Amino acid sequence: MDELMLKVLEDPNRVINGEQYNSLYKYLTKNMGDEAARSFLAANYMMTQDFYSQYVNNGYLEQDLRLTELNDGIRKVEAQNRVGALVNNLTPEFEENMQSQYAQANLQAAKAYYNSRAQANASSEQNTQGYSSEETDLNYSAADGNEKLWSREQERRQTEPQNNRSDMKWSDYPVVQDLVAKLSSQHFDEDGSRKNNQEIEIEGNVVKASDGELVINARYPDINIGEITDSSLPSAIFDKSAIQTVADQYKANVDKLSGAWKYAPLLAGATYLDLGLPTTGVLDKVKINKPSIQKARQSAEEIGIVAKESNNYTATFFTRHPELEGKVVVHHAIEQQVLRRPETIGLFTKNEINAYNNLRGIPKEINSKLHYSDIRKEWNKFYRENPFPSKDDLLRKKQEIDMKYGSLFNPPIE
Amino acid sequence: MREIRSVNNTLKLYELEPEVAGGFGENTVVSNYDAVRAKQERAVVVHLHYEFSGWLGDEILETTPCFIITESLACSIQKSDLKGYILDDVEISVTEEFEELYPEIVLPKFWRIIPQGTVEVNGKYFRNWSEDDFCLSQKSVLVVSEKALAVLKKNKLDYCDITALEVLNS
Repeated sequence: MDELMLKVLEDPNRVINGEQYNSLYKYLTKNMGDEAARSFLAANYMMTQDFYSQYVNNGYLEQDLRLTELNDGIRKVEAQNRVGALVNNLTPEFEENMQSQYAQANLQAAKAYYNSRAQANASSEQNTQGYSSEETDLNYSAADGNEKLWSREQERRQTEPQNNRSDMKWSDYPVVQDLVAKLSSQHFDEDGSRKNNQEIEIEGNVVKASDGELVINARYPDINIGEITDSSLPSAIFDKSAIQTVADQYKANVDKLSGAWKYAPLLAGATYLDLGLPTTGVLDKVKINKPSIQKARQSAEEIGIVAKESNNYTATFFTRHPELEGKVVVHHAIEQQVLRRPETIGLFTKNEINAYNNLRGIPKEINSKLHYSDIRKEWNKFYRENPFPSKDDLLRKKQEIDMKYGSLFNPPIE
Repeated sequence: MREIRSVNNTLKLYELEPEVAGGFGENTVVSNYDAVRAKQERAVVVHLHYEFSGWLGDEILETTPCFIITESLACSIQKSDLKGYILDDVEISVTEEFEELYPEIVLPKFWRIIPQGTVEVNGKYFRNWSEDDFCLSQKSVLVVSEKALAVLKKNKLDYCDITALEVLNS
């Protein structure tokens, strides 16, 4: 198994087949636990396109999202908001249909599982995708609308010891350290110089070779998931053709174009980490504004598989009130910065913030003082006194400000 | 200055609520992001990107828990013997709204000012003052000495709410 892992780690394209992937997954799970194994695999891009095709087509991705909600002890909406904040947003239609998609995906997953079980060794405790029979049974029940098992599972996961989901990085695990040591000995002399005399500079986790190529990944010691940068991503995979291919694949299976955006970079080679899917607990450490993700988003928009972001909130407002153009300044009732403040990221999507019901017109003659002094100060004081507000807290504050200043707005808020 | 309240007694500090001309820009870096999210620790901003969406002209501005000052005010402070602060770089940008509404405004250079002192504030009273001229209260409110306020007042400070605090004699 070590040889297989070394081969995979050494292979710059991380090309493995589904069988190898499953073997690695089981091996790592045994040695590291499920969470760490997944993050290890994700960080090393050990997801073959073939595997991901099966993964998505069989509905396992949706299933994982559902399990993630339970794993992380968060509600579905929060999970979606978190994902939404990281990949910018999901369309309302997608969110509305999420529940039925889960049910369908879970049903498909369960059927695929039972079919594969019937064909494979009946004594195997895990299916070929690495899911336990318990989990799949659970999904099958969920597909039938039986929420009781989900509740029980949620309780179990919330009350069980969290040892398997500690803050331990996967690079801390002996099994990984052994591998890294072997790789290091292959590539570096004891004094740290590269064996083939190639000149390199090491800055943090970034290894810069003499040919200018930036290399940063788990091949080298002291990798820290939190330090993964954009240079660690094979950004070339985010080109239009890759996303187009993926979009076609996805469209052939699910009639939800808005979802294609989410899957596109995954299938094109990105990982959970890249997308910031809330699965491992390490995701918060990864910067959310990766240029490659933004590029993928842009490509997806250009291809037309995802609606363009609604940044133009003034147009949204003046479409409803053309008579006010030039007379009012459009202000966000809940400020845009909730999308950026670390304590409020994920509570709202960009679309929610730029939606008409969050926009207020302030007459130009009173805008300066009212908007930039009074209202901003109110919000600043609110953040100071409520350093960890909930969505409801923010909505209540919005109402409070509307009640206080609403009569001055145009149109006024009653 | 809009208001100075409860002025009497000898030793006084002043709680300031400066103009809020914008907020965190997208390049702001918080060093304890995980802890903020998971353990609800207060954010530690190691790189501040202040995005202006409007500016009424005051020379000290806030977006909690950070404060920035104009270079002119920074010079005044540096020339004084005030203590208890660190000046740090700040990245400045403006929103599209700002560009549209105030195309004529050219922003001066700004510095981030990081108060080093501490003080405990309760209502209009304070105690456990570190004797620094620039302090943060337990609720991240900027509190300055009389000497510091005098320097600040030599610059534009029209939209800063100022509340006088008296020492709490136990």
